[in-house]
Amino acid sequence: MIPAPLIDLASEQLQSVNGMKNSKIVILLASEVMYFQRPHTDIKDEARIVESFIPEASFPPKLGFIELPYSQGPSFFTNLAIYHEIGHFVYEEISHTNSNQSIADLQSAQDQCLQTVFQKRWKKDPEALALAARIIENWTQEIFCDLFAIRLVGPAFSFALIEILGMLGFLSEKETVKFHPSHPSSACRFAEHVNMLRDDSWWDAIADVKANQKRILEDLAKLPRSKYRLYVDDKTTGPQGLITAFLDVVVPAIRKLVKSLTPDSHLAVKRFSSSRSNIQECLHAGVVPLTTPTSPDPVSIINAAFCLYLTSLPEIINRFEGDKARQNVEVHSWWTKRVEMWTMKAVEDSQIHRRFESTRALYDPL
Amino acid sequence: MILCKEEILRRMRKLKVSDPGNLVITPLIYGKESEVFDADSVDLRLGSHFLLPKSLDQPYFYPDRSSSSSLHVHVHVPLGQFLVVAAHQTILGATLEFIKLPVDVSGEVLTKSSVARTFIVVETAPWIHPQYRGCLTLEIANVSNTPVLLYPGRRICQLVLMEVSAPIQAAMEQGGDLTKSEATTKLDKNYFGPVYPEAPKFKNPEDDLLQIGVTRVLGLKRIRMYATKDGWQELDPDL
Repeated sequence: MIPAPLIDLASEQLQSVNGMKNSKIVILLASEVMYFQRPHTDIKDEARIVESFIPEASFPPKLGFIELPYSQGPSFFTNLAIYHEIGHFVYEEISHTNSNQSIADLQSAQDQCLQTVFQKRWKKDPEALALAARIIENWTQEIFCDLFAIRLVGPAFSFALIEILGMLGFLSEKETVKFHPSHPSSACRFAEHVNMLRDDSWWDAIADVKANQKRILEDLAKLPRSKYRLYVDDKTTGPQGLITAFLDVVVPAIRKLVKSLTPDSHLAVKRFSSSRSNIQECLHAGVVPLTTPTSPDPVSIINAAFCLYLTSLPEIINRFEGDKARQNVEVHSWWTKRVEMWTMKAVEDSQIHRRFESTRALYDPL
Repeated sequence: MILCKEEILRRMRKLKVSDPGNLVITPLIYGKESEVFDADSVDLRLGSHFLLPKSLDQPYFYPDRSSSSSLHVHVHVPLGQFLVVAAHQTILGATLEFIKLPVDVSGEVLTKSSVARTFIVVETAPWIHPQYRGCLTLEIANVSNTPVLLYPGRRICQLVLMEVSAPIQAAMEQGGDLTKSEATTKLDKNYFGPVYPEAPKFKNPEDDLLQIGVTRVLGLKRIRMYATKDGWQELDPDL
């Protein structure tokens, strides 16, 4: 089973990203533990081979393949991680085709970062330079994808990532400050999440959410940079200067690029603030949030539902099953699934309404 | 008394969702009210999720605890696409609309007459109890001799709502709020708030029958035989 309404929504939002019109994504259920975006340059090569012997077959020019762990198929909140993977697809696509000035700025920021670290030594050690360039590129992509996801789906993405990393045991204090060649540290990522959420006013809109996941987010974001450590492998540490240069020079360029590609979030925050209480009231009463042609929009539904799930699930259980049931893990899991299903249904309903309204005027005379 | 359109709309629009008298039908998609409302009923649409019967690996269906997960395959048919129901085939679908009945209202789901005339029969267990919430699971049977295409999103059945008299209203007055009034009726968690069609959930037959004092229950057990030098022997099914 796949979270079809979420995938529909993400595909639709992708159309609003600059340079991504007419792009499509395909979701595959895979046996991996983590979410993954298949580099689509490989897929394009394979598509060209197929096209060569089936003349009528043509693949869409912008086609992204995202793998989702089959074990997470039916869940909703953790599957918000697909927005991060869509970010990889977008990054890959725009890096090859887009003439956006912000991309050029990002690339020169990466060069500047390497120059800062290596200065004149790069001629002596080209291998180290190449490795550092690869590391910077990997970190750039990860931060880009996180911020991209936040711009499209708000703080719900940060909460989902906290849940996933928590499940995988990556939120211990020691782990969260480790930069690896493939990923920046979780603490660094979450610090950037909080910065973006603040810039977009999401942070103020969720100021009253007293959830453990939000506390973790805050605590990690507050960790001083001096605690960050680069590990080239399990035991060997790398040059600290690479982290500093990356954060000072590259990250601001990533923020600028994400903002240039994605729609402004302030309107989404306003819509969330005005519809949140109605959405949560419905879920609290054990009902799919009510949707009309005008509101609430899917992003508000997702964020309001996630906030309710993080803060008030025990209250809902208590309301329907009594106080004792709150401690029961099986009961907790059952109600989690129900809240997720109701949220998913509301997202689907909201999109049906919107499509109906947008086509109604056009086809009414028929 | 059957609820008229005005009363249905009053309960949907004027009462808060937490009010025990509130009725929820969401999403209700229409340009004009007359597209989905009759004087005494609301049309409901077919949802996008289906449970299709699996070919069983045994020559009979045994309704026990494990049967809910072994009987069907879940299929999602997006709006705009269709599902072919073969002649004489039965499937489970669900309404697109999620409903929540008030504490003092029962409902009945009936096949829309135009659909019935194609020999598609919807619902053989049409009664809905007060306070039920969820998308309604529809037992859909094609009793005609030709395959029929079902399109999710099309109107397939109609919901008729009836007010329940004294006992539940008394509970409602005593309770005052949803929490208390719900505490007076049992919460059937098996079918609470589904948004997809739900497979039937059974207890094991022996557990059900024990409740009325039956202590010996015949079962049909699949056995596996293995060859030994002394001839065929039964293999422990738990191995």
